[in-house]
Amino acid sequence: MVRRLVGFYEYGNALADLDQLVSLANEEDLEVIDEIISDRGEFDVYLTLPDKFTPQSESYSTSGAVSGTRGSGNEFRKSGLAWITALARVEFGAMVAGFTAEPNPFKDVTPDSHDYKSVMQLLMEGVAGHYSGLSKAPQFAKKGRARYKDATVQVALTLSRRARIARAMMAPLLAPGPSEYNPAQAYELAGYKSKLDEGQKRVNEDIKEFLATRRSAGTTSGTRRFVEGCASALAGERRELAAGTATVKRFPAE
Amino acid sequence: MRNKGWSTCLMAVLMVACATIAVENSAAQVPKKHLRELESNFLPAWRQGDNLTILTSLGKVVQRMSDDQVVELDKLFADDQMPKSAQILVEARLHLLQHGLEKKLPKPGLRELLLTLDNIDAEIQMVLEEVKLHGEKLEAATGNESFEEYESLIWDTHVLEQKIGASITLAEYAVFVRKIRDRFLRRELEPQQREILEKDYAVLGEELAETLKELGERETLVRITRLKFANNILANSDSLKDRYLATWALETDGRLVREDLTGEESDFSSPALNDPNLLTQLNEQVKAGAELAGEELIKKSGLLFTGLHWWMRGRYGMGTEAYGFLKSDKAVTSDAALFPLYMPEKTPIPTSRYSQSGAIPEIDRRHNYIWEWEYREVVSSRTTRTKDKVTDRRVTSETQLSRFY
Repeated sequence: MVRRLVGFYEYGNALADLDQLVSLANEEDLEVIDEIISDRGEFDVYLTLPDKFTPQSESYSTSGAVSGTRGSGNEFRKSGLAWITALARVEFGAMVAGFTAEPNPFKDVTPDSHDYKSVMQLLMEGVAGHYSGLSKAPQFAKKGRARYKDATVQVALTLSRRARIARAMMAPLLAPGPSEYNPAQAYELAGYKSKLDEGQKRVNEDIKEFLATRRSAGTTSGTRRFVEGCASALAGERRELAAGTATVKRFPAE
Repeated sequence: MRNKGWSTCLMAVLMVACATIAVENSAAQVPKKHLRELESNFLPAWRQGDNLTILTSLGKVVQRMSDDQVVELDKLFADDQMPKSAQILVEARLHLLQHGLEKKLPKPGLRELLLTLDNIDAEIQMVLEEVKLHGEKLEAATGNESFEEYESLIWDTHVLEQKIGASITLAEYAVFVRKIRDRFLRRELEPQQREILEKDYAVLGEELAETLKELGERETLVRITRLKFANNILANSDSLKDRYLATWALETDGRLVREDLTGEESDFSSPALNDPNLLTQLNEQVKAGAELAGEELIKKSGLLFTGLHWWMRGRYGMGTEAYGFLKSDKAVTSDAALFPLYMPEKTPIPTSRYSQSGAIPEIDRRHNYIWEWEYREVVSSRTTRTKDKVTDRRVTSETQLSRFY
């Protein structure tokens, strides 16, 4: 189903071409390419970072030809090849995380890649946004559940997918590498991870409970679709267990 | 994407309008029963992009109202930054036509047909005027434009070709409803109404087809000019930036112009394109330019501009379903169905997501939204279990989203 998402095919093709270009380009080429991209406003990328992760200096966040310009709050305008590929990589990876069985959607994010810093900042922006949204969802944050079982699992399926995307985005941020986080930032990130893991576990329990109920109660055409969705959602959990990255212990690994 | 906030405001406006009707009881006011119909069926359909229900509900209401009442309704819509009722109907009908659903469309009543045909005519005339202005712009070109200016000229031609293509579909529809028009023409009509119904859209369609051919030739001519310009740059400039741009133009224009000249169409209206030596000259230019650029630059400029083209499609493209987030379900199995996307007519320049006038692009990150389509589908599926007439109708379009699940 990921093929139906606008951006999957397009960003995938863009990365195939532009990554190959980077491998062939020399310093002079890269400088000129950044200039060509910066000349065209349609390739600008706006970045919004949370307070605690906003860099002190502009140079920290600039890897393109044009220096980052402060917008309102913690927003920066960026341009250049690294930001183009970084945005494509983050969007593509998020689609893979949410809609495929790929266990490591951001596997090509490595410290030696040309857009590593840009990708990390866009991932941070993404994680912060999803974390904030999920924290406000009662069912995810253990503040309440829907009145009807069907409604509960419906919301759980949705939240589960969002959490999968957020947690996949978090993986490269926590991976060993040239971390630029100070202790306070590292502590904050660990807090994000812990709460996202807990929330994912919570909604997965809702999904399992629904499955157990429906197995005995029979299904209508409506609930049959949810049952299929449940299987798909829990497959993510099984993959994590298989990869040794899961925090949920009760579900058997395949 | 449609703004969710407006519907709440419009509902409030409609409710106030209902109350106003009771007090004023004016013939120009939109009758209360029609406002209820709009609130129950049209508004949810508008919010969800369900064109069939939009057409059914709004078409029924417009058909039953007087001219003055339609004007009043359009004022209510305008208060909420919505298009006029005629435009909504035409767009909904056109959208369905473009998806090959003409047999499913409700037959238009006289009022809706008049509004639709009148707007089709206005729309087509507007596009033809744009084509004329574009021709004047091309005539004023010096032949020494910058790459950016050439790109703009080519893009404008491409956009106009798309618009003429859409206009041809509109004209075809006007021909398609000829039997319905003939039926209404047997009635007593105002002279202005008769004029609208009697217009010969078949002739207009032929004119549009000719215009489309002319636009194709315009694009070929611009590309031939740019190709010469690119060759000149490659022969005389040391600037790597200019050479990147020139190499890409040489490769693209050389390929496309050769395709145009060797395609099925061989009888061009432009004398320049009928020159028997043109293809040979063009091949020589491309060969000379390629030698000046070198294989390495050809490869790198190709990767750069093709990659950027894909990126633009990912960033600004819209699919045919789910407010543009999704492509048709054929994309799951067909590679050909992966490609088509709606692209903005004017190249967008991104703004801050906090911009007062609205962020560009509206979807700043796709990952912030894609996960929730499942939820939207789920919400609609709950409504299938109700027997409520209103929600039953909503399901028609939303059920399609279940394939996304």
